[in-house]
Amino acid sequence: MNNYEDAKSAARERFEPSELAVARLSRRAAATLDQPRPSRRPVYAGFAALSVAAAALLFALRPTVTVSALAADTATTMQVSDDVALSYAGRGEVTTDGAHSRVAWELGTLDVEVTPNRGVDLVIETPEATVRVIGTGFTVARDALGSAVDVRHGIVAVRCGDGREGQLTAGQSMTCLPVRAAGMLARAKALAAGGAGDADVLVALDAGLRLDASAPVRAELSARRIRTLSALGRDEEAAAAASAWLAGDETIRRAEVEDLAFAVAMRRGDCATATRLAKTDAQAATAAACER
Amino acid sequence: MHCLRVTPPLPTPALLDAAGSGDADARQQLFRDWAPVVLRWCKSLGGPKVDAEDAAHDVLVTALTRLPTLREAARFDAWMFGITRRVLTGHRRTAWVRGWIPGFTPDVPDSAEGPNARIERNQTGARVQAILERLPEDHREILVLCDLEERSDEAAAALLGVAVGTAKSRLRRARERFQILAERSGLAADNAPAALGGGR
Repeated sequence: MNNYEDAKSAARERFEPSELAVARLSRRAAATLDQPRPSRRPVYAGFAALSVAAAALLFALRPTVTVSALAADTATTMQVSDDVALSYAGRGEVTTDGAHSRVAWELGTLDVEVTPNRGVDLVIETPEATVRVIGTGFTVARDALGSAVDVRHGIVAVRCGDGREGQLTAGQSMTCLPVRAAGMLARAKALAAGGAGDADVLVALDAGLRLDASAPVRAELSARRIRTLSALGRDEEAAAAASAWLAGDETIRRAEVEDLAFAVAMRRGDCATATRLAKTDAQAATAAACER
Repeated sequence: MHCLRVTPPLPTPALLDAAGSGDADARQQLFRDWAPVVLRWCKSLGGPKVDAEDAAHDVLVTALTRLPTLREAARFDAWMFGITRRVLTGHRRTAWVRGWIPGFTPDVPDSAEGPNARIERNQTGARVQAILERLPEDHREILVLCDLEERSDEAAAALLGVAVGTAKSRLRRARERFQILAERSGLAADNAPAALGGGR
C-alpha cells in the first residue's frame, strides 16, 4: 500500500457487499415478509387458537424440508433424494422437501445427477444463472469468469441474468456472464490473470462499463480499459479514453492514468500533450526532448 | 468534489405504496435498489462483531413493514438510514451481551476472501474497519457517509438529521481522531492523514 487511495479503496472493497450476499439477503427478507404475522388483538384469540391447531395439523402433515450447507475443498458427494445426487467441490446450500429441491450455488464446481423421467423438480441458482433440470446429468461451475453449465446427458434449461436463455442437450455448454459491473471487473481480472488475450479482456471491460457501476468500479474499469487499449496498440483510442477520463474529477487511479496518457502521447509523437501531462522531472525531460 | 453513486434514485410514491401493499414486484425493486445500500451501511457501521446480513435483514423487514408510516417519499433515504441506525444499535447491544456469556461464540460469518492477491487489501480494509470501530458512533457515521461514500456535507447532514454546520465540524473532529488512531495502529504514515479520503 503506497498511498492513501489504496487504503480508501481497500476499505471500500471490504464494505462493498457481494452480489451473492445481496441476493441472499433479498431472498431472506422476502421470505420473512411472506410469513403470516400473528394478530395481536384478543378478539381473535379463538380464531388464533383454531389457526394454531390447523397449523399444527398442517405442520405435522407437511413434507419435511431440510436445508443443508454444502462446503468442501475436495470432491464430495451427497444424495439429496432418491433421484438427485450431487458431487461438489466448493460451497452453496441445498433446500429440499424430497420432491422439490433448490441449490443456491456460490462458488466452485457442482456436479448433478438426476434420475430421468421421475418428475424431479430441481433448480440450481447462481447469481448469474438459473438452471432448471429436465432429467439429466450436468455440471455448474462458478468462478470469477461467470457460471458455466456443461450437460453430459439429458436436457437442462438455462436462464442467464442478462436475459439469455436456452435449452442445452448432451455435450452442450453455456456460460452466463456476470450481471454487475463489479462482477465484470472481476471477470476481466481473471481473464488477464489466466493469460487470456487483451482483446478478450477488453470485451469484458467494455461490457462492465455498459452496466450500472459505482464510481470506484467505473474508475477501475476505465483505467484498465485505457491500459488494455494501449497494450493492444490502439493508441488513438487509448489517448481519447485517457483524455476523457482525465477531464473528469475522479481521483482513484488518476496517477496511473496520467502515466499511461503520457506514455501513449510519447508513442504517438504528440509532444505538446506529453509536455502538458509530464508530472516528473524525467517525464518533463523526455517531453522537452520530444519538442526539440 | 466528485460523488460516488452510492445511493439509488429515491423510490416514487407509487412504488412505495405498491410495496407497502404487498406487491411482490415493487418489493423486489426496492430490494434490488436498497439491499446493497443497507448491507453496505451495516458492514461499515456495524463493526466486526455484528452480523451485517442479519442486521440488514432486520432493517429491510422493518422498513417494509412500516412503509405506511413513511410520510415523505422524498426523505426515504434518511428514513432508511434512521432505521439502520436503530437496528444496528440493537444488534451491537446484543453482540455486547453475548460477549459476556461464557463459552458463547458469536455467530458472525467469516468474511475472509480466498484469493491470495486480495490479502493485503483485506488487511488494510480490516485495519480501517478496526479504527472505525474505536470511534464514537457519530464520528463513525460521518466518516462513512462523507469520506467512504463521498457524500456532500449537505447530503450527510440530511441523512443524519443535523445542521450542515454540525456535520462539518463533526467531520473535522472525526478525521482528526481517525488520524490519531491510524497512526497509533501503524497504518502507514502516508496513508493515515486521509486514509478515508480526508484530503478533499
